[in-house]
Amino acid sequence: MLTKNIGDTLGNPTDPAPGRAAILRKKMLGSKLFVIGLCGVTIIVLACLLGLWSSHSGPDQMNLAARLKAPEWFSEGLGGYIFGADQLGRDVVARVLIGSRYSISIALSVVLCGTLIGVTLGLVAGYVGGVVDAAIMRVVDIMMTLPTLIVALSFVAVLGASIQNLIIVLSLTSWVLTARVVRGSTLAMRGSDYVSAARVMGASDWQIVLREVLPNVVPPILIMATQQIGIILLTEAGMSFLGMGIPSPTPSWGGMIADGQAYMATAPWVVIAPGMALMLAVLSFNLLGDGLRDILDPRSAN
Amino acid sequence: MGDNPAAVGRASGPGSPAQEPEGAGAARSDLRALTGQGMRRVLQTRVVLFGISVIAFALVRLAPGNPAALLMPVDATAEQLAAMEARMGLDQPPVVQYFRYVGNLVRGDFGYSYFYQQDVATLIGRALPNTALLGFAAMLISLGIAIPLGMLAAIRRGTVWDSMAMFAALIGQSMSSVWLAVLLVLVFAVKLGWLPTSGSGGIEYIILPALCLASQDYALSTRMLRSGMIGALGQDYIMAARARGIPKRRVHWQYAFKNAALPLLTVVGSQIGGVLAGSLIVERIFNWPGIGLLMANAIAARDFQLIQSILLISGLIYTVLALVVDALYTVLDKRIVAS
Amino acid sequence: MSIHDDGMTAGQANAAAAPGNAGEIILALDDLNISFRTMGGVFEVVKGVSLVLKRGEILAIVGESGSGKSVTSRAILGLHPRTARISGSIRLLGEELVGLDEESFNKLRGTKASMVFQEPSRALNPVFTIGSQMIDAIRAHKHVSRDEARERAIELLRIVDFPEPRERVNFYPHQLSGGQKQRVMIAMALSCDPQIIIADEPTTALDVTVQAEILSLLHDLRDRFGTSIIIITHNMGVVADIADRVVVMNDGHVVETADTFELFAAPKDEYTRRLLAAVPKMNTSEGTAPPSLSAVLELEDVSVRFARGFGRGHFLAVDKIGLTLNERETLAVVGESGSGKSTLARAVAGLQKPSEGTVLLRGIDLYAAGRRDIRRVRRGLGYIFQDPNGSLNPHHQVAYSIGAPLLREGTYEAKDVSARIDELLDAVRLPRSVRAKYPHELSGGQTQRVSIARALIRRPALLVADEPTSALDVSVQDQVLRLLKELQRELGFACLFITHDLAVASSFADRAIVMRRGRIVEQGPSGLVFGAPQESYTKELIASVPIADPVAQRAGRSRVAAGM
Repeated sequence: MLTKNIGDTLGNPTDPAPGRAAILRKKMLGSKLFVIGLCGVTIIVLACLLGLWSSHSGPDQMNLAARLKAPEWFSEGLGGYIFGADQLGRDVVARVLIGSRYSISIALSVVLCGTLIGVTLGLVAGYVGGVVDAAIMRVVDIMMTLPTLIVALSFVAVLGASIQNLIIVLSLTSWVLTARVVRGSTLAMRGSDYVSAARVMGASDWQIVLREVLPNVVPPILIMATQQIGIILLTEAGMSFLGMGIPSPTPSWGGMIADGQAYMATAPWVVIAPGMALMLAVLSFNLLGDGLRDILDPRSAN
Repeated sequence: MGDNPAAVGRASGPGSPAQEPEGAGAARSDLRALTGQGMRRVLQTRVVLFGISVIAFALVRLAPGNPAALLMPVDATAEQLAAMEARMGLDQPPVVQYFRYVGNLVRGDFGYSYFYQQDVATLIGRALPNTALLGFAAMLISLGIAIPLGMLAAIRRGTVWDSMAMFAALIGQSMSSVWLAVLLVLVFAVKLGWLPTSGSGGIEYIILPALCLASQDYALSTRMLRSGMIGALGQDYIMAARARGIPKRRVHWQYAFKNAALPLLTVVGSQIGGVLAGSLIVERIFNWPGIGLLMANAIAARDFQLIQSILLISGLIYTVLALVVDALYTVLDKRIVAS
Repeated sequence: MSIHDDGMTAGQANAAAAPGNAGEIILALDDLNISFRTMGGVFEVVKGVSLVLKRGEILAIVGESGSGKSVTSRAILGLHPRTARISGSIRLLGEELVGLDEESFNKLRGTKASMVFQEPSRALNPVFTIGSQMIDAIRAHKHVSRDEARERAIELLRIVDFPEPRERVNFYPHQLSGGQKQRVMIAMALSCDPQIIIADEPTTALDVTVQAEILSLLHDLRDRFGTSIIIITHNMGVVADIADRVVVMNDGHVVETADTFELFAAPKDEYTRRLLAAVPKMNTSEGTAPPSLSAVLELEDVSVRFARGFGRGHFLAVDKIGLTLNERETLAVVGESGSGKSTLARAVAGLQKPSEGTVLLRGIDLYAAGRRDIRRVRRGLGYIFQDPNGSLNPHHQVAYSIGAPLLREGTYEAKDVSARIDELLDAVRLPRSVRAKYPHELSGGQTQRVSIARALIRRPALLVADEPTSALDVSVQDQVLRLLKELQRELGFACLFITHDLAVASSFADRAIVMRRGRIVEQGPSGLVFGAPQESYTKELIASVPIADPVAQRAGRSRVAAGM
C-alpha cells in the first residue's frame, strides 16, 4: 500500500532514539515467560523435523519381539527403545515425534483459519455496526452456547474422521472468541478520539480500519492465537482419544493414550510419553502467549 | 468535563446530567430498564435457540448418503429403512421437515436411540442428574482451589506466592484431561488402590472424575480472579476504604472481592454450561453414567439421533445458564441496570 | 447555601468543642522526603517538605502535576505505595507517623485524619450501597450496632446537606449525581470525628456550580466543628475562595508558604508569580469585534436526539441550535456537563449526524453533500480533542499522525509532506526530533501541540477545539492558548471553542454562547456575555467561578451568603 510506504519514510527516525525493534527485542529478552515459551516451541518444531530421521525404526514398524518393552533410556545409545515400545512393538519415541508433526500442523492450520475468520467478522461487526453487527453477534451467541468439543465431535462423527475434516470443523468452531474480542476493541476504538480525528481529517472507512483500528488489535490477536494453539492441541487429543480425530494408524498423542490405556498397569510408559509430550507442547505455547502479553501490553511501554 | 452523550444515560459522569431522573425516579427507571433488558435477552435467546435447533437439524442432513440410513443400524433391512424415511418425512421439503422436527421437540419427542433401544428423552433424563452431580462436585473443587489461589496471587502480587499460584494455573491450563485421568487412575486406583478405577456408587467413585473435570476449570478461574482483584485493588474506592481505617482483610475480602467476583461469575457460568464437553472424556474414562458417556457411546456407535439430541441439550443448558448468570449479575451489580 | 442548624446534634456539638486551643499546631511535616525505587532508578518525588497545620485552619497545598502534593498528603495517612521510601518526620497530634505499621495507621485513619478524593464516582464502591459503606466506616472505629451506625450515617448525611438522607441511604452510588456523591464522601470522612480532613482536589471533577456548593460545605464544616482542612488543588480560584494559608509546591519542593491574602497580593517566589500570571482571568471588556467577513459555518435549527435505551424514549442533547461563525472569528461555547456542547462540536465536525437541521460549512451541507464535496468540505476542517492521550493513535509515530491527512489525499509527494510537517512542528514549538516518537513518550502539553499541528496541516478554514486545555496544567494551558491565538492571527481560521471554563472563554473568544440542556441560554460578544449577563443562569454560572483573588472572591461569597 502506497500510504504505508510513505508513512514509513516519514517515520524515519532522525535522532538516534532506540528504534521500536530494539525496544521490542529488549522486552522479549526481559520476559522470562516469553524466553522459556519460545525455547519450548523451538524444541517442538525441531522435534517435528527430527522425527523424520531419528529413530532406528519407523513409527509404524512393528516388532513383536519388543512388545511393551520397558524404556532402555540411553543404554543402547540413540538406537535403542529409549522410552520403550508399545503393544505392537513400535518405538514410543518415534511415534511421539511423528505424532507431534500431525498435532502441531493441525493446530497451526486451525488457528490460522479461525483467526482469519474471527478477525474479519469481528472487524466488520464492530466497525459497521447495526444490523450486520447484530447478525454476526447472534451467530457468535449460537456458537458460544455449543461446546466446541461436542460440535466438533458431532460433525466429525457425521462427516467421517479425517485430518481434513478435523481442520475444517475445528476452524469453524474456533473463530468465535477472536471475533468477540476483535469486535469489542473495534467498537471501543470506533468511538475513540483518534478514529474520530482520522474521520474528520478525511480518512475513508477502509483507511480507518486498516491503518487506525487493525494495528491496535494485532497484539491481542497474537496473544489469543498463541493460546488457542494450546487449546486446539488439547481438543484434538481429546477427539483422537475418542477415535474421532486423526484416524489410525497415523500416530497421534490422543490416540496413543487411548491405545495404551489397556496396558497402563504393566507398561505405563506407553501413556506417559505421549501425555508428557502433549503437556509440554501446550505449556510451551501457553508460556509464549503469557510472555507475549507481557511484551505487547501497552502499559508496560516504558 | 466533556458531555459525552453516551455518559448521559448512566449518571456516572461528573456533575448531574440534567436529563437523568434523580431520587425516587431513578428506582422506577431502573425497573423499566430491567424489564427492557430482560425482554431483549429473551428475544436474543429465542434467536439462539432457533440457531441451535437449525444446527442440530442440519447435522444429520449434512451427512453424505441417506439420512434415514444414518439413523439406523448398519444391518437394517430395506423395510425398516423405508419406514424410517416415512417417519422422518424425507419426502417433504426441508422447511417442512424442520418444523416437524421442532414440533416433535416441543412435545418432548427427541427421537429413538437404536443403540440403546430406548427413547432418547428417557436416556437423557436418566443421565442428566449424574452429570449434574459430577459437575457440581467439580465446581466445588475448582472454586475451592481457584479462590484462595487467585486471592493469594493478587494480594501478594509480584512475590514468590504469585509466581507459584500462576505456575499452578499454567499447569492446569496445559494439562490434557485425557492424560490426567489416565494418570490419576494409574496412581490412585491401580498402584495405590485407594479409589475405584471406574463406575458409580458411593462418594469414592466421584472423587477422581470430579478432580479431573475441575482441573480444566480452576486455571481460568484463578487467572480471572487474580486479574479482577488486581484491577479492583488499584481502584480509588479501595484507597478510600483504607483511608477510613477499614481493616485490610475486610478491604480485600469484601470491598475488592465483590467487584472481582463479577467477571468470575461469568466464567463459572460458562464452565457449568461447558460441563457436558468436559464430561465426555472424563465420564468415558471413569465409566460414569452421565450425558458424556452417553455421547461417547453414541459417537462410537454412530447413533445420530442421540448425538443430535445431546448437541441440542448442551446448547439449551448453556442458554438457560446464561440467563441465570445475567439475572445474578443484575442482582449483584446494580450498575448493569442503568447502563 | 448553608448548613441547617437543626441538623446538628449533641454528638456533633461535642466534636465541635474538641479539646485544644484554636491555633495550636496539630500536624507538622518536617524535612519529609519520599522516593520511589523502580527499575529505572530512584525517583525523588518529595524533597525536604516542611509545613504545619493549625487547629481549625484551612491550608491549601497548590501545585501542578508532578509537584508531589498528592503523594505528600497521602503519606500522612500511610496511603503511599508500598514501593515508596519515606524519611523525615510527620507528627500528628504529637505522634510520629513515619515508620508506623499498617495496623497503627488503621487506628488513626478516620479518627484523627480522614480523606476526601478527587473523583467521587471512583472513590465509592459501585457494588455496595452508600449506607453500607458508611456503616462500615463508622463500625471500623466505634463499637456500635448496625442500627446505631445506620442512624449515625443518616445524621451525617443530613449534616452535609444530602437530600432525603433516610430514603437515599440505601441508594447505590450510580444513582446519585457527582455533587451528591462528593457529599457522601465528605459525610464518610466526618464519620469518626476526625480533627483533620485531607481533601485531594475535591472539586476538580465537578461542574462549577456544584464546586461552589462543595467549597461552601467544607468552609461551613470548619466553622461549625473546628475541623482543620488540608485542600490539595491546582486551582488558584479555589485557594482564593477558602484557604487561610497556602503552601506552593513545585517539583517536590515547597517554594513558598504564606497567608492567602499575602500570597495573592505579593507573591515572593518566582514560580508562584508565574503560576498566578498563567491563571486565566475573566475578561469583561468589550473589545473590538473583527470586521464582518464571510461566514465559514452556519447552523440552522440543528437538533441531535439520542435514544435513552431500550424502551426509554429519546432525549434532545442539542435542541434547535442556530449560529453563524465568520472567518477569523472565535466563538466560545460554554456550559456545564450535559449541556450538549460537545455533541454540538461533533455535529459541526461531521461526526454526529443531526436528527434535524443543517450544518453548512462554507455554504455546503455537511450531511447532504456528495462524496466528492464532502471530501472538499472536510479539508477545511480541523479538530482538537480534549484528552491528549486518546486523540493520537498509540500505534503511530508523531510524523504519521500529523502527516496522514495530507498523505491520504494522494496528491502530495512524501518530501513535501515531510517539509510541511517540519513547518508545523516549528509553528507549534516542538523540536523536530519528536517526529519519530510515539504518543506515550510525550507529555500532555506536547501531545496537545501535536494535535494542533495535525488539525492545521490542511490549512483549515474552521478549527473545532473541544476543551483543548482542560486536561492540562495551568501554565501549559496558558502556553497552548497563546499558541492557538498566534496561529489564528497568522493563518486566519475561524475557531469554535468548546469549554467549561468561563475565564478561558472570556479571554479567548470574540463571541460566546452559553448552553444548558441542549439550548442556547444566552449569546453575544464575550465581553457582554461575561461582563453584563442578562440571564439568571449565566449570572449564577459566573458567580460560581472562584476568582483567583481572595479579596474579591470573599466579598462575593459574603454577598451570596447575605442574599440567601
